Amino acid sequence: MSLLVAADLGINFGGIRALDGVGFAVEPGEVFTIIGPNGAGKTTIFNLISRIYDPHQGRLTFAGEDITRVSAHQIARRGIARTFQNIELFQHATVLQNLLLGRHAHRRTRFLEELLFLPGARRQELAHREAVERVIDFLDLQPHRDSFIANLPYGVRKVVEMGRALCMAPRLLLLDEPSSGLSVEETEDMAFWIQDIRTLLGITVLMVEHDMSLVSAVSDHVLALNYGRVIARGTAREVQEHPDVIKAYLGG
Amino acid sequence: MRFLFKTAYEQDLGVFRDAVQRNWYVALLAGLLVLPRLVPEYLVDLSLVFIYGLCGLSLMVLAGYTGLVSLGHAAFLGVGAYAHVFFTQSLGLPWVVAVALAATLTAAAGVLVGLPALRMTGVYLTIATLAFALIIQEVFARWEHVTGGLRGRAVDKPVVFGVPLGGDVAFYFLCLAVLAGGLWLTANLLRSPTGRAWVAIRDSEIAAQSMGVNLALYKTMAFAYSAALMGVAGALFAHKIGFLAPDIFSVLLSIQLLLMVVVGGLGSLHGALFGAVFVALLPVAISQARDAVPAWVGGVAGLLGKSAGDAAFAAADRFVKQPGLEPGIFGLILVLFILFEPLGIYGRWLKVKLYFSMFPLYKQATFRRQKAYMRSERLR
Repeated sequence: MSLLVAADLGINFGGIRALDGVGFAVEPGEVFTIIGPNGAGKTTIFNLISRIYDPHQGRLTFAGEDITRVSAHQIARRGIARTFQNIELFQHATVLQNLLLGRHAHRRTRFLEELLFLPGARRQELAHREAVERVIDFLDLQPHRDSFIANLPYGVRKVVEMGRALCMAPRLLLLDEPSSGLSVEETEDMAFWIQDIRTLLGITVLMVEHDMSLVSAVSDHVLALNYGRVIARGTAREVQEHPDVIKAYLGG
Repeated sequence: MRFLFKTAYEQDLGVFRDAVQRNWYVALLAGLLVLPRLVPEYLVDLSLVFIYGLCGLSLMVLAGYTGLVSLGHAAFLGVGAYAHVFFTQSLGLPWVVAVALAATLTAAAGVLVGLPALRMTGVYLTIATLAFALIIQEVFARWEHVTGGLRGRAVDKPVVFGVPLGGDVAFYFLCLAVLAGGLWLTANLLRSPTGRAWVAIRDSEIAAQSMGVNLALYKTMAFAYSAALMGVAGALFAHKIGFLAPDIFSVLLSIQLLLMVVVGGLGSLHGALFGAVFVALLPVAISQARDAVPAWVGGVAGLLGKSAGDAAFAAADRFVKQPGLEPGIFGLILVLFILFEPLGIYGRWLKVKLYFSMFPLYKQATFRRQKAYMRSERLR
């Protein structure tokens, strides 16, 4: 059974049809990539999945459950984590605090327990910390634990944001342009991490990406969008060679 | 420079960073315990510092940590004060019960303000809280059989568990104990998921939501907790001023409370306390200066001749007796802080501390602001 199924998604912004009857299925354990020129509707799909927007038509099904009308904060509890194109970290907090917030969906304590910091709250904090430390080890973030985000270079912030999503221990990870703003070396690292996330952590990845070397290195399936419509789907190679995709990127 | 070597996760969970920091706070507490013997004439002002400290905590949670700026906190202070006086004096409830009820009532008022506020952000929210404050002030004036209306209402001395704590020294310790309790509870929340969720909402609502933070719930909680702290502060404030009248809880007081957290330094508990010291003691300093400054000026100008000294004394005396001097100085200081030290007194304190721990390697660029990257504005 597919992990995430999008069927006939559509949304308008004013008179603009941002998505028009887009459908795809993400299988468990794969890396699924959405490509397309600027304004094709890639990020809009992410914002529909994380329920920031309401679709005007179509359905989203995650692990057999209809999530089209689930409220935004409940999405995390279903096991869907995401990153943002322009980095939405908590600027005036440390890396550790940012990562710990990734554990928020696993919060079990009540307000009073936290107010008095009872032993239950302490145990929970320690458990969260252990989970966070595993992610820190995985992404080599050890030197930055206590740094404030505002003082970190862009490439590290990008990794921290992915780490925050991983701390949630999600079943599906949405990566919005993981390589944007990264150097060539950092992009290569990112490719290795995405492969590790899939093979070592067993997390399904849905990704929006422009860098074709990264796309072809990690993707199992690729979907190409233009003006809110699907123009091609298949493996990275098939999509890259599809005449409509070449036309969408180069014009003509 | 001292490096902290961490060997256990527990070390990041404590209220204090390490034993050294804890010992400093123990020393501070010891200092506060003997202070009444050292400066008995300032005890009343020091009690006010503690009460303002509680108010500072309350606003710090809301404005500094959750990013919701309120101009209506004087109203919560007033609700707490009137409720406490009503519960103890009209209903004859014990002091502790009355304070707890007053805190619950203000928390409920906080939820009431918070609910519509969930749909508003930024300056609109601030204006909504301002409107709330004006309405509440009107209620204080009109609801005569509870509040005493415009005639006001006298407040009895506090009696806790049958022990009268009306004396200056006893009241000083009562305020200190309540502030210490409030600090502990707030620090607990801030090191728990709740506090992290608040900070997350402040820095990026969209990311907080995607990480599973229920924005409505946590914003309401911040309002309720902030208001409850304000309610407790209100109960102490009522005893401190000894007489309640609606015009005490004016918008001007709200502004002063907000100024406290901005001058102290947004986003830190230290900032709330530094701000409280500043706001509570500045009027004392100004009134002392009122007496002393004309004499100094006259003395200095007197070196040029007696007539010049007399003229300078008269001019300085006229200047310091201007009625608007105090709010004027407050405003000037606020402007200077926002221009030169947006992180407030606490920010300055950190810089001074770093300067000495790094000496002679301190670089000014350490605190220079980096260029901010664009955040996604499409989703707002």
